[in-house]
Amino acid sequence: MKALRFALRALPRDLRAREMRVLAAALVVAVAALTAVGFFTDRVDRALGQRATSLLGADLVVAADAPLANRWRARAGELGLRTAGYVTFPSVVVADGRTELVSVKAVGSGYPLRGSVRLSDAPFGAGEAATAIPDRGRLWLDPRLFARLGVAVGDALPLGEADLTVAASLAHEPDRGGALFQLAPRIMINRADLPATGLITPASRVSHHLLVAGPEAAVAAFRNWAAERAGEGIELQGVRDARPEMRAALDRAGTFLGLAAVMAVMLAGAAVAVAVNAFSAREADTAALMRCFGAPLRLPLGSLLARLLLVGMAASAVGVAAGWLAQTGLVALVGAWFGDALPAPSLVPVATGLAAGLATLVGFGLVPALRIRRVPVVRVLRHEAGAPEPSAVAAATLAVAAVAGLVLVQAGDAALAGWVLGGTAAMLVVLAAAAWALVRAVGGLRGRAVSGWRFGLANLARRRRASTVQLVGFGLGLLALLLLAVVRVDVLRAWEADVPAKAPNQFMINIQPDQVAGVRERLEGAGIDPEGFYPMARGRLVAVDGEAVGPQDFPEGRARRLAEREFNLSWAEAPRPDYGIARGDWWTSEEAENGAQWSVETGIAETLGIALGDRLTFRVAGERVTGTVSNLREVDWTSFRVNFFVIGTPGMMKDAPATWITSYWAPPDSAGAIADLVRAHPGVTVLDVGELLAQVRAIIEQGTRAVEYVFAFTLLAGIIVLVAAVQASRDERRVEIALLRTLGASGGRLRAILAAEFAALGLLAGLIAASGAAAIGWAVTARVLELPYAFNPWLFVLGPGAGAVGIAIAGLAATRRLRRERPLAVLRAG
Amino acid sequence: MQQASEPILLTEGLGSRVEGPAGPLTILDGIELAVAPGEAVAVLGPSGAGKSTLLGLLAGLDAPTSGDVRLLGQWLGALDEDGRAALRAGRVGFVFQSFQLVPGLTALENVMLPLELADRSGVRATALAALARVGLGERTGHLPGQLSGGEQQRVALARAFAPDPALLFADEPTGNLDGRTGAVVIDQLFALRAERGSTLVLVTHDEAVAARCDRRLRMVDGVLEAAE
Repeated sequence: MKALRFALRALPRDLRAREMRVLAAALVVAVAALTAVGFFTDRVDRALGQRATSLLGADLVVAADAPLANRWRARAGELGLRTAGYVTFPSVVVADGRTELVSVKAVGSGYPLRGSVRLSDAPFGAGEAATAIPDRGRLWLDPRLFARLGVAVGDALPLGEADLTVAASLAHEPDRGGALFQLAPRIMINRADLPATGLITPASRVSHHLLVAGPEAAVAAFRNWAAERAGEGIELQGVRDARPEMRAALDRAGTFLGLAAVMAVMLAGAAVAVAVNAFSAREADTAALMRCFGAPLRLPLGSLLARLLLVGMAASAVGVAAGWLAQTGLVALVGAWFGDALPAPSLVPVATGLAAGLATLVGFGLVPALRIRRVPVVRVLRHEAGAPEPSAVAAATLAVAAVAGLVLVQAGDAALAGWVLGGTAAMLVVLAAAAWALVRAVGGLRGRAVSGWRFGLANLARRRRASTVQLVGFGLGLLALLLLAVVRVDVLRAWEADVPAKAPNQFMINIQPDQVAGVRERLEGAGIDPEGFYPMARGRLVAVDGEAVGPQDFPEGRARRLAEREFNLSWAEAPRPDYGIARGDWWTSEEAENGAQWSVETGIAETLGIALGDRLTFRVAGERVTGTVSNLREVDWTSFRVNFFVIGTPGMMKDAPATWITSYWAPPDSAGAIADLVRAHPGVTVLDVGELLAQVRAIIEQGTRAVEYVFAFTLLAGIIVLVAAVQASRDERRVEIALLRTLGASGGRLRAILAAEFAALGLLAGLIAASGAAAIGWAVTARVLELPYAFNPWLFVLGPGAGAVGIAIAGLAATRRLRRERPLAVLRAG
Repeated sequence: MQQASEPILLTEGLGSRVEGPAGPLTILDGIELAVAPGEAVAVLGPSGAGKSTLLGLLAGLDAPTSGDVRLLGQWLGALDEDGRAALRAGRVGFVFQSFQLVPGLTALENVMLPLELADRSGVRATALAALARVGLGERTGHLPGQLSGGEQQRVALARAFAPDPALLFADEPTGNLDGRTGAVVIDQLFALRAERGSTLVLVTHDEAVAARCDRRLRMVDGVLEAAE
């Protein structure tokens, strides 16, 4: 209690003390950086999430095999959510003597709740956003159907027993989900016209969908309510359950933003460690004096901790406010890139900001602060009697623990947290070892060095502990700068390169075997380079290891849905270069010809519980085809190339009735050639995924910009941390500079001495930081994001160079006033 | 309170040894010292003779390797670090060679510090009066860095005497001052001591300063001898 009283009385004095000001400023900057990142990330994350909902047409979709009871819609209404619905079912349309398999979507008013349908007057036009659903008696037609059915806008088209008018070409349907290759061309009608068509019978395969959208909390409440009632033919689809390529894009954006936040946490720790170290060093004298005057040990200790805590809390609060302001400016700057206004941030960053500020203070400041316990009282008589340096192990352990907690909260990803922590721990060990090596090496170098360097290097060697602390601080700061300036760019480049600019944007399916040569010729004639032609046959999984299986044998949800569907099976002799064989081996050419083996995609194998060595039986066109799973294969879904969940050996599949599939990048001006091709090869179906691809790319690009801006802010924080580290060592140098002045050192000589010392520190810290940045860059690129890593040699030029020059300049700037002080005043003040 | 006949400060076989590079080094060896209440004792000796070490042990700032000290009627060996501190609070004052003012605190706040630690009432008024007594009533708001060496030591004097201590330890109080300034500080030190009747243990190498004390002792090779 007395300690708190004493702390409160000491606090105004503390605020006059340079060390406490530096500490407070460092903490404010640290927390401000963290919360600005937190607020901004929070808002960007929400914006990305909302953008993704437009690909679902809603915030949440309930898909059911049978009409949903009224209470579903009622419950959503109670929660204040908007709802809409549609049903889809396959059908056949006949026009002009031609028949086409289509997928009818009968939509109710309000559809879609997120995103919009785009319509054009002519097929394959870009279109404009529709303001309502189709009018009664009218339909919207997939652009591919116009040529195939020989109809134009304004023509009548029979659908079941009804005659509807073709009102527009359906240029874009926001929630055209599901497996791409199973998409029959779409016909969209008003739900009210459905009974008139007479197409829905008890035997029809109709899928019923309830769309839900509204405030996040209400959606979450509805999801919880619905999750308890889902199952048995009812499934919930949120943004994250949507298409795998969407999920991959979102997950990567999340990982990048998490990483940006992690960098802010690291910088916060470095700043606080440096500042508290300086403050506790100053407090040693006061503590010894207080104890000399009769204070019990707990008084200076309690007082110090209470003051640190009070200042920490106040600084964190100020930091949160500053962070909020900073993110407002950030949003004003880049808000336009996110289209509509960003959603308001949640209060989570306030709480995490305050908690992170205190966690950073405790994690990085407690061990140096506790030194005060061990300050010998006799220090008042013999100033050289100091407290032993804080245990490096204890300090590092606590700091790592604090960072671990913060990283887990910030990144929410154990793998990423693990790599970051491993990198930090390794970095600290390497820094400490390198500092030790430097100090040892300096002893040998100083004899041969020219005068300025000799004194500067001697300074480093003499202040072994201080040099180590500074080296760690500078090393971490430089590491952050290198990660931001160099590794960030490299990683983003690798990420962007992962979705090539000319990734396939159209798929062509239903190509008959005898049409393959003709189709290829026409595509090439149009200047289009198809990435490959693959045979494909539909098959249903009917047995595993000889035992019959049906959908009911799989867990509800995705697994059962997959098991219900027919698989697109392909076959190939050799693996495509981009396949990653995760387990097992691809078949030999001998096995390809005579063997019966399957290659299964790892994700579906996991979902369906398929293991290496399982014998899978598919029913293909009435025949049972059985083979052994000889390998599990990883597929890059963001490549937009033709991919299959299951591939078999050609020998096993040779009798299957095959159609062929290809994908290619079609330039914008190729629509005419494609239309000609479709007319020349009736039955061939073109699926245009350009729109989908554009949306995924847009999300990736926005994610990239968000990360860049988050990193730009962290870069600023890194520079401030470096300056703070130099500032913190100011007082140590005052007496020394005064002494050198007294001994006759000129201003130029003083500058040379200090520049040499700071430059040597910076050079070494830069070398180590470059190594660390390369290691972390590799870890993030290759291990976390699973992208190819390219080593950047510039790290080892920029790191030591920027370190030596930057820290020498910063050090000289920070000591400029010291160099001008009158030596006598300094020496007299002791 | 002490009876007049009982020493306020007493040592028995006080010794201090440290482990040096060339083996154990004896700094103090079997010091026997008794200081009566109100007495002023000077400890003389050249640099490195162990004077400051002795002062630290006498004040309970450090622990001896042998022997014991009785301070204000309490054997220090029976007390832990906090016990020794509690014993000093408000009753033992200090003046140091290097002033030892807290750099972040004003002159007034520095003087208030020991009063606050001793839980005294009227801390501010007492501190202001003490500063006025040493002629610094106009400079109470100055930080140590804004004061001359002599002024700083006078603040330290005010701080030492403000709680009205029974015993005052002074470690080379003029060691960092020029002759004239040092003389002013010493005059004030002895004047305050006379006013308060405090016991004084003064460590110095200055024979003239020592001459103003009631008794003079000399540190030679870790042993304390009476000096003439």
